[in-house]
Amino acid sequence: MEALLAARDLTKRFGGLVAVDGVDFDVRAGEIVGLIGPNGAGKTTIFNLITGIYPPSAGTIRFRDEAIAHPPPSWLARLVPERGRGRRGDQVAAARHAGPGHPLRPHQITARGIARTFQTVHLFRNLTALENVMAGVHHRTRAGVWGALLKLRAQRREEAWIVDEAERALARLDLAPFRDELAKNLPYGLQRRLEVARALAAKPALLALDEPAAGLNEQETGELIERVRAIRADGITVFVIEHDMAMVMALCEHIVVVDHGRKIAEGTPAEVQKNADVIAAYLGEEDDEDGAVPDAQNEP
Amino acid sequence: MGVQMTSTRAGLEGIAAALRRRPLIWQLGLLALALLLPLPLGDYYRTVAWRTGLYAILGLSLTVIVGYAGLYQLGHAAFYAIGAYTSAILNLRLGIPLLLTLPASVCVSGLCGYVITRPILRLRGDYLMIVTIAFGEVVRLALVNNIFGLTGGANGLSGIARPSLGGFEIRAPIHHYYLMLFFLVLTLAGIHRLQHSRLGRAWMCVREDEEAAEAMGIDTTRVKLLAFVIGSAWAGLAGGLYAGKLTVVAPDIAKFMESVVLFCIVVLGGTGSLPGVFVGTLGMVTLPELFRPLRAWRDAWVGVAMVVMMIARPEGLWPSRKVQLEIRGEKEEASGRSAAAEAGS
Amino acid sequence: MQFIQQLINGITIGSFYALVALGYTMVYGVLKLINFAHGDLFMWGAYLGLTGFSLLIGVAASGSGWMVLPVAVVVLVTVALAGVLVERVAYRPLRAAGRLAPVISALGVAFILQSLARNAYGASWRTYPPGIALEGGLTLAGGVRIGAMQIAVVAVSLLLMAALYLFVQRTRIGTAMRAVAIDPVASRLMGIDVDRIIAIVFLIGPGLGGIAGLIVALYYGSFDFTLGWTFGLKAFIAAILGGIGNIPGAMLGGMLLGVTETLAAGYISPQWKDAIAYVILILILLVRPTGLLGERVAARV
Repeated sequence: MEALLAARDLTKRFGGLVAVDGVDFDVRAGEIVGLIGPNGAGKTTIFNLITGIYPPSAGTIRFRDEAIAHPPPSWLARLVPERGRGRRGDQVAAARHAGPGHPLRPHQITARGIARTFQTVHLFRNLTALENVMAGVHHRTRAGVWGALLKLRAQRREEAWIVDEAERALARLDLAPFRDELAKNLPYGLQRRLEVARALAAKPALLALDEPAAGLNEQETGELIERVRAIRADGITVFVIEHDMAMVMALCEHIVVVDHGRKIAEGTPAEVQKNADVIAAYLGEEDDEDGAVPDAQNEP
Repeated sequence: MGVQMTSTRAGLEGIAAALRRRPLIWQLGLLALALLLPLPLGDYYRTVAWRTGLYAILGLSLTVIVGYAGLYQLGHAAFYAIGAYTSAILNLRLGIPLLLTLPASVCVSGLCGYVITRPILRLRGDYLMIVTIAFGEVVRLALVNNIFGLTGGANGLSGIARPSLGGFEIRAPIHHYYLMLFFLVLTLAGIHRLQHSRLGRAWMCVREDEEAAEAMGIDTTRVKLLAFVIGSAWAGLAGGLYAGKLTVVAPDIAKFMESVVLFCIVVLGGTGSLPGVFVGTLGMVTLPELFRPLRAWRDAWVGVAMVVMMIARPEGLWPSRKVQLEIRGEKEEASGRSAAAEAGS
Repeated sequence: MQFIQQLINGITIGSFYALVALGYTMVYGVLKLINFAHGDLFMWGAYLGLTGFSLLIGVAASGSGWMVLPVAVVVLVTVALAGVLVERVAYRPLRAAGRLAPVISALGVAFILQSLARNAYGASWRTYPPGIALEGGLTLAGGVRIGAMQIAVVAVSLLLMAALYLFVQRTRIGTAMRAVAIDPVASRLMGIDVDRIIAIVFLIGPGLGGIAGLIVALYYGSFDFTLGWTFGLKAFIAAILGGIGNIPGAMLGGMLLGVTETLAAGYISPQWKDAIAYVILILILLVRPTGLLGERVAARV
């Protein structure tokens, strides 16, 4: 099967620190793939590279056969203004040739079909649940300044459609009763769920979840596993960072393990669990009973 | 400042809620009031009313930048001046009737807004604010130094023709007032629509959490740029109206004090809310005009108001609900953090 | 040689900017606040000096150089106390209030100070009494003239800057100041009385600014209430140029700005002198916002 997302020799340096070091992996369409590793291993950095928060120092990431991440061109080239790479649809063909160009910004990557959640909840706290999810729908619509000012028919229809889509996304994750609640007033578990709903509203082909089970109890984690499976059943590929080992082994079909920025193993849960390097990397970390590593707030 | 629910407040909130359900009632009521307002007044007060309306338009234009996109613009008067001078120059040099110069003023101001903003959007909030101050001063100096020989130096340009509608010259203060009122209503309608549109939501999201907004597919740079350009362009319109009434434009309209007054109108009145802009305008512009004897101490009173407001009610007198929640939330977080620090961790 | 002459003038002005810039940079360092009122405190130094000299002349019948010392002390103490008062009343209540509220409060204080000065001293230009400022000077080869006042001014400024630098680097309080500038919360946890340190910063910064106001007024001879605004903004630009929050940076920035401005006025056009300063500011913020000596902002991980 063609890889939906492919990283080759992915490297990221922050000054003297090498956060990600020559990592290769594939995420195939329709799979649920896990990205695990001890704290400080570079997992969120990899996510940030995928979603365009910063460009890699070396290596590439290809999504649907397009290079969405590559090292930035020399500063000289950067002086030349960007040419409409943001508009969904146009110029994508040009980008396929993977020539040096301006690194894609996160909103451009979202437009290409990758949506994510964050390690710490990044909801729009003072907006309602509905408004949060409507933000996810934003990039799928077009209405601009003139449409808003003149209140054109098309714009009004689009607005109604946006509300519909948002409500559908809420309903899908059983959040409909909380439609008009302010995001910051929701209990933590629901906030996490709302973040996923918002990401889904962007209709991604790949959903990147950064520690979705952090802070959830056993029952909530079980529900999360079911929901992720349902999402995959809808045709969305899922890429998950997690520390909760039980959840990862139960949920993911394919796992990539990183430690200190390097990939140390890749394979099915069974293979990974028996891998000597993986065991060594996790030895010395204190586990509690269900295999979850505490201190899940630290940088992976 | 706890929550004190006195019965008066509860009563007022009840009325407010009822009005919110039928906006057309109070909107028409206000419009009628505005139309009738100048009739019993003398010319002096009609001019005060005109100035109030003009600054309200300016305040609304700035609220898009500060209130919606959350950018600290302390050089807004520069775009006001650019619009005024554009109208003046087109009228004086090319004989274009004033009302027809207004679209040009809008475009020129908007264009300048675009050119200025593009490179500075990636700057952090503090630094962005400083650049806007610097830009405001550069514009003022350019005007004083008679740039391109167009702007007439420290005394500015005079002899601008008054606006005329199909032969009827708009000369008396009351006619200027109605012209301004027309544009004010237009501005209010436009901003209201923007606020409740896809773009308005994008602005709110960018204000709340820029990183998340970008991750959701909102082009944050473009959205901020739009706010800036729209706000700057509309300030240009106000400038054109100003030129038409006073028939004289001078570099003084671009000075920092003007920008600060505008900024205060938005922030002290109530960031991000439309009624707040009016409250701010009344406080910063109308009241000082009405209490002439206090002129000498006006700046001091304004200063005191600013300090007191920030301590007592930083979200402004009539803030939008969201901003109020935001600011209270920030305060709670910050005091929570320092309380934790004092207790030791 | 016109160039040398301009250079000397530039250094003189530069030392003024540097003195005032120190106040901005110190306050920003500990509070992350742009103290818009600083320029007006500087202006009050000039006005208080005027009052001081007038009083002394009332007693002594005519102006004379020795008067500078007592007046300088009074100015220093008064403006320094005013600075602390401003901090207590207008900034401390807003410590936890986000970024915008303190800025507006600072602007408010600036207005109050300006209005007070205008009402107390009038809107017209005021002149310092004659006989106080140093007369005469040296004439070097090529017609280059160094005024005695220039030498005195630059010497005093450099002295004050050196004293401040040593204070910040070598004393316990100075170290505490640097700690608070880096991390106020951690400093508090380490037992540093952050409020006291901030008060000290507001003693020193405005104090220096007040002295600078006195010196500037003596040097130029006359001024009006817009002095605070024009000088203040330039000094502020100098602080940014050197790296806001960085004390040697403020000194460097001040000197650079003074020299550049004077050379530009001499060789390009005096009219655009002020605009040069703003253009420098805009360029610096676009290219290197942390200034020449400022620390690079850490990349987000």
